[in-house]
Amino acid sequence: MSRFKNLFNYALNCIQRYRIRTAVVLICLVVSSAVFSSVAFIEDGLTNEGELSLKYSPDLTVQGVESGRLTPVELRYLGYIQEAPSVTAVVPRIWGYANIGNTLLVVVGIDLSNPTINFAADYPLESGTFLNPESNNSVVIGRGVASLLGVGVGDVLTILTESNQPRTYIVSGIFNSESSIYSGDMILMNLKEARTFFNLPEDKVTDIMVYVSNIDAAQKGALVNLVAREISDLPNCRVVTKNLLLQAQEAAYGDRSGFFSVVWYVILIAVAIIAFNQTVVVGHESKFEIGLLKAVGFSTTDIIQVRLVESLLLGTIAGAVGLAVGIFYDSVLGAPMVADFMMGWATLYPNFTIPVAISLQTVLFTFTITIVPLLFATVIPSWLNATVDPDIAMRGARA
Amino acid sequence: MTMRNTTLLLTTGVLLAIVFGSSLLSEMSWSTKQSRSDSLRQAVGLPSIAVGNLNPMARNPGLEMLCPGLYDSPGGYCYYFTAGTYPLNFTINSNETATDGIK
Repeated sequence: MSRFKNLFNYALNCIQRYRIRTAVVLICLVVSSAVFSSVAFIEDGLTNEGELSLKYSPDLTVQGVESGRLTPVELRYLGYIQEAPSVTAVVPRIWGYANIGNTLLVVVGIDLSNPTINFAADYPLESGTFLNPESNNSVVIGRGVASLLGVGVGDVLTILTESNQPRTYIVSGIFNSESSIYSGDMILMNLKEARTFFNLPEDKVTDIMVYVSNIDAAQKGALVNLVAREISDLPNCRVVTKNLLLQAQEAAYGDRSGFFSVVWYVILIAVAIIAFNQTVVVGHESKFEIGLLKAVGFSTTDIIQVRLVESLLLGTIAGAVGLAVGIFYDSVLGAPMVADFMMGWATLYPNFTIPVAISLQTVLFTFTITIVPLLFATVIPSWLNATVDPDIAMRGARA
Repeated sequence: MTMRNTTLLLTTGVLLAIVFGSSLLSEMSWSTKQSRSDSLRQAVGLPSIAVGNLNPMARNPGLEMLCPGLYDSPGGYCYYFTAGTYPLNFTINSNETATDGIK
């Protein structure tokens, strides 16, 4: 124990003695780990939020298809789908995009007779109330929409519909900023109003949400596929399952962070090369020292151990600093530049909070990739130095 | 152990505590959020989040997520979504028929 303590102390002294090597390795590793962790934390946050949305999405979404393109689906399919085995609820929905205030917003019309809606529930509202089934022209808007249009609860909002007719709505509630990641760009209204807004015929809706009975997870997948197969017999229909959406979401966020990952891998390779180079330089400078150490009884293993402890400490310090910078950059500064890329057009909305998830997995992975390459980059040069005869090492260093 | 070494180790310890503490808090906060009922998401049922309209993560279930850009150009439409949903594990209806093994 005492031997290891001495080696540890010696390694700590070496870190301070070879300042240029320490500074170069630390700067490179801190920058690379900070960039990586910052992107990974946002990616994890977005994926978590996406998964949370998916958790509450219907088991199946039925959409209309014509000439291979998405179209509104016929409402008459509702009865047929309802009769499919294990289907517990079939709910029509109208939604789409609207260019309001020079920004693309999402207008959603929900069927207020939907049994999955609980009016007694606590909705994430900053002010006002949720939609009232008895009030036709009331809307609940996201925090971002309220800021964009400068409206509050009770204000009258006049919007041009898709048929270019002005339509008046009363803002009955505003969703809070905590739910902004889901509701920031949303104008929520009842199904009838949304039909008028998008000028949809009475017999069509944007899509149909299908809920299948809750059984254990192992059987549910097979049951959902069975129902999907049954519904897909309907003409001009396309069925999308929750599982497919999950795969699509993971692919989309993975692709975005993938761009950064590639850049990061390049940085990591550069760091490993720099670390290797610095160790070789330090190895040359410390030849006399190594010769002296071996002359007073240090073994080859002791010297390699000292260098490995040095690298372990350097990697840990760099990882910790890089992660702390990443956390500060995301959580306190709001990840400028990185957020623009990861959030797409959402950066148009004011006061948008970036979801950040500092997962233990990402933290441990960051430490692994700051420590392991450094250990590999150190071990060969230190072994080459440590195996030289002490007399030759000291003479060589003086020469 | 010298004063410098002690300071270095203490600073590293504090940084590690900050990092792992933040991670623990974040994990707890997400776990609470995921276990809490979300009435808004349940009522609306849109599977996505308010990120990236017209970008790869638009809210349209399935299609717009994977088909940015090519949208309406002839032949450039996301063909793998036209006859059915590609990764689904069931046989989708099509306009093909088989009679006595001859199509």
